Amino acid sequence: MSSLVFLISMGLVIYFLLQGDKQDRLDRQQAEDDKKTLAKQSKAK
Amino acid sequence: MKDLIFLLMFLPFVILALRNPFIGLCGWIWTIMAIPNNMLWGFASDIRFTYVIALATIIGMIFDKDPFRKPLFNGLFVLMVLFLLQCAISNTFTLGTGVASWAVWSDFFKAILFSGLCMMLLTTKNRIETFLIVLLLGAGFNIFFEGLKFLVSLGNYKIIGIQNSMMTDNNLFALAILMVLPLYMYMIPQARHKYLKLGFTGLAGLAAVCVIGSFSRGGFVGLLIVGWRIFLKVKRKFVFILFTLIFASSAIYVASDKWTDRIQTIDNAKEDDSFLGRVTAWKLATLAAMDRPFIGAGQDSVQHGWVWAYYYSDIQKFDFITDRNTPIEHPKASHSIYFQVLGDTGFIGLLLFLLILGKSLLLSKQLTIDAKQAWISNLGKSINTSLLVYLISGGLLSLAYYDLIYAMVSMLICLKQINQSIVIK
Repeated sequence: MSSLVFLISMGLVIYFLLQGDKQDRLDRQQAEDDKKTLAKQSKAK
Repeated sequence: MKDLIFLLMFLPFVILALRNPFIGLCGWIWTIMAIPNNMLWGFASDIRFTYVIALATIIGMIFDKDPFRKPLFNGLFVLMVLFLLQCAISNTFTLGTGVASWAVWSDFFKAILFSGLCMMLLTTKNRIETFLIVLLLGAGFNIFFEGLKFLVSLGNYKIIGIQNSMMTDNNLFALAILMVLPLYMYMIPQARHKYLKLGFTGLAGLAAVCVIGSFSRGGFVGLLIVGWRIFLKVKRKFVFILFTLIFASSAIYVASDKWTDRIQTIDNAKEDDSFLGRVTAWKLATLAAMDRPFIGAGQDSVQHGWVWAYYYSDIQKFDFITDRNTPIEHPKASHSIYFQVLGDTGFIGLLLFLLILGKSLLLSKQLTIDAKQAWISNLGKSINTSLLVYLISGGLLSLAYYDLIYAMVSMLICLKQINQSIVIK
């Protein structure tokens, strides 16, 4: 019983880690895009 | 078979840590809170999962070009490193056994390393919340089983702590749970998944049950503090009072007379042998610090038989407090974070330790006032409650080098950095 609950909780942890990783990739992409936009704007000025 | 399944499930932790080091930190805190080795009995039980995940995180950091990584230079981290160095100096001249002192230092070094990495990597809201979810799920596993065992046995099961961790006795377990309880309260409204919200609500209730089931008096005082802080925060105060009354009366009913007898000994502290044992340990820690004010006796030394006996000969200096002491042949742990640090590292160590805690408390308070976003203020408040519980209940427990407190301090630094970087449009 405890082993099963342990493995389920571990599965949950992996799920949330994957979700966190996915969101982090999006945040990184956003930061990269913002950087590029800023560079373009400063070039245009 | 179970070990094999576990290893297969642990593999994603390592792969993700190598790919994205902040995930490694989440895995790291999970191994600290869940203590997976306690669930394994086969070949995997000897694997040091914390080391594996720590190594993967550090390797990942070398190769990952993280745009959110922050430098480590801040006052609190410098204080932590100075405190770590002070411990190392004390251990070099330890009065106890070098092996024991350096073993404690080695664990403390890992706690500070972990804290430093947190300061560098937990730099976005998503990262902090993922870290918290994993921390709470890890702690939740032990809370779930211990709380359930206590309820199912109708209070006859006594919670004695978690093996192979820093929560090895009932008091330490109660304090660790009380420190995570405010984080559950923070995550319940924040959680985006309905079932996660529900799960965390259940675990928060079971956490309170665990504190009661631990029969810890320090824990009970801490529970009152957390309860009061939650009461101040909740909007529906009447519902909270009603729920608390129902919960408290049923928990105390289940916990039987043994529990009420135990808690009532708070009133008779002067007559209680267990409390007098603590006072004896505090006296000896103070004597060690007075004898070696700059270095103390070395980590984990005062409770060593001969060190205890050496300082016991001067114990009458504190007879003005009470002349009743534990017998010389029964050395005791410090049972107070303050006296633990004082005896271990002397007055300099205590000063550094108090500076870390004081600065963190001020920072958490400042965050609740200056926060530019509600979640920062709420998390600041929760960590403030955890720190307060640690400062008060920790006065009766030896948990000065616990990883979780330094992780919380690092989270405060991260929150401050995030708050500073927010531009209000």
